[in-house]
Amino acid sequence: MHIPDGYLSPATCAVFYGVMAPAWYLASKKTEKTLGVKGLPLMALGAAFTFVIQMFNFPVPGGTSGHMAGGAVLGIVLGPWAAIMAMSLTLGLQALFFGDGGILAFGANCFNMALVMPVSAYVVFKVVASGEAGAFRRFFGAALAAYIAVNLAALATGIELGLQPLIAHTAEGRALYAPYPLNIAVPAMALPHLLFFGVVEALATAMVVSYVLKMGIFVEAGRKASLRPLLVFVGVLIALVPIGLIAAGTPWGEWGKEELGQLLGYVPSGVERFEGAWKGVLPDYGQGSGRKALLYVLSALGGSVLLVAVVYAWSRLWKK
Amino acid sequence: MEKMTLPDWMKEAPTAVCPASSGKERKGFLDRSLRNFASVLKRAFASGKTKDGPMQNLEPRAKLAGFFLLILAAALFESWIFILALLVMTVCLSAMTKAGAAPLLVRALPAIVFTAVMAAPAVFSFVTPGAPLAGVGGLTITAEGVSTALFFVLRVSAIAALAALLVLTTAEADFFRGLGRLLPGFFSAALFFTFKYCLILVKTAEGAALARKSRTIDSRGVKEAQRWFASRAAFILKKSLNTAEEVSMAMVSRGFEGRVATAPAGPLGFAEYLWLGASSFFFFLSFGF
Repeated sequence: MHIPDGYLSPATCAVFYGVMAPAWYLASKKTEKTLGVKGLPLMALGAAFTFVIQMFNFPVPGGTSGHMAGGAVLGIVLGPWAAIMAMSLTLGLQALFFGDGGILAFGANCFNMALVMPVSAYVVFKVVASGEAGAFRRFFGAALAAYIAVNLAALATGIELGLQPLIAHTAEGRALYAPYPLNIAVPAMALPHLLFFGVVEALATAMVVSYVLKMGIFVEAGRKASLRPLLVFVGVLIALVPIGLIAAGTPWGEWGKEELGQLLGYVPSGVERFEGAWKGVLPDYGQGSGRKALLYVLSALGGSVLLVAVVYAWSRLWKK
Repeated sequence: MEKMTLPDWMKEAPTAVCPASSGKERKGFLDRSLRNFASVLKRAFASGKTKDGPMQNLEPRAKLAGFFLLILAAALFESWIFILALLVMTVCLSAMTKAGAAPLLVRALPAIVFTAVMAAPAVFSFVTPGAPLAGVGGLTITAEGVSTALFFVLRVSAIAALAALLVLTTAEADFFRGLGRLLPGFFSAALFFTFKYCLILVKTAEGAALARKSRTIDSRGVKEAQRWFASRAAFILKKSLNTAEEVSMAMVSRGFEGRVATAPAGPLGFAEYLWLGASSFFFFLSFGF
């Protein structure tokens, strides 16, 4: 389920970094509030735990085996906030040191496995095992939570990959990133998880949670915290993410004179007067001229010199 | 004096009564998965000792920022020539910096092979319609399909090679120092903690597996293995939480109040500005090609 770099367009990666930024902020603040200084080592060790249990292959009848993702166990045991942070740390370590999942795709991977998976597992487990639940209801609740969680994460991954040929292709229609459309990517991700990996995750999670409860080690960092902000946040995301991904047309606020006229019914006089007054040193990166390639190279050279100058000035100011 | 002789049973070749002492490789799920993962993990952790070279001596924050720009450029380029140039440049850099092309290939190969396998069906007309090139078992390979799949594999190869070169030329301590100056201190400190505790927990997992192996005469079936897995996972979680408690108490006793402070960054030299300039040049170039 770890999406490597090169599978998602940079625009999609940016969207998911944007989505995860408030989730990380919210989760770190909530964890700090509920756990205090214990939060840092707890999240790090929760992440290390997930990393290690992913090393074990869980045996299933028929001589085959599969490994756990671990997000559901973390969501149920540590609570959603600490689980978001711990899973993000695991994914960060895997991306940086082991090449398992991309650095640019880190935001998308975190959305699937550090947000969707533990939060949905937590919510389902809370609903099924609410009140004075017995051992069987807890076992069943954990299994159902893990099955739903891993399948939701797989579905999200399938949708993200399947959208790529729609949103990132050449003028001839050739896909620039993951080449499979939704009708192939979604079943390819969903079916193995519905039939095999979901079952492995469900069984393994239920057994681990049962042992955890038997040993009396239930932390659930978010127990005292209200889930309302998270649910509202997730609800808004669910509504906005597909729109953002498939949105075509001019970015908000970058309208031209004609588009603004169509939108407002009139063109503001300032826009009428000043649009096009300053065309830049190399307008449209030099696309208008016949020496397009050379101008592009010069633009890039100019940009890199400017960036180095900014870094130099910043480092000088920082020293003072 | 009575002659001492060994009993017959001691002269017989030992039968494999205990898998741990038999010398034979058991093909169980635990041996397979744990040993493979633990060795990969230890190799990655041992990579803190990097060979000395020009890339290795770059200031970590500048090096990380430069690599990020190059990875972003590789993801943005629409021209295969530029992506290929980036890949060739990465391989050349690995040779120049004494990281070596072979270790680079070893690190990048899994992602490349996985992508090649995944991209293979894209060559057929049912995924990528276009001009027919050849037929295989009733399926048509299209020119557009072949170019789409090759382009996809090339892009992933370039990015995987860049990420591998970053790890190969950066010592563990430098990596976290660099991250600490680019990311909020809390995240880099938590990542560093995770990195360190992974090794401790892996040792615990390996110890548990070895203990089970030395106590087991014969395989007891899937149910027993599942139960063992669940109990050990819960045990590792318990150990994690206990360690977290102890670590937090140790931190508090040393004056930790919840804020992670990072040491002030050192000045950037000519090499760092050159590296940033070159990587940002590729980044800006990627907007046009």
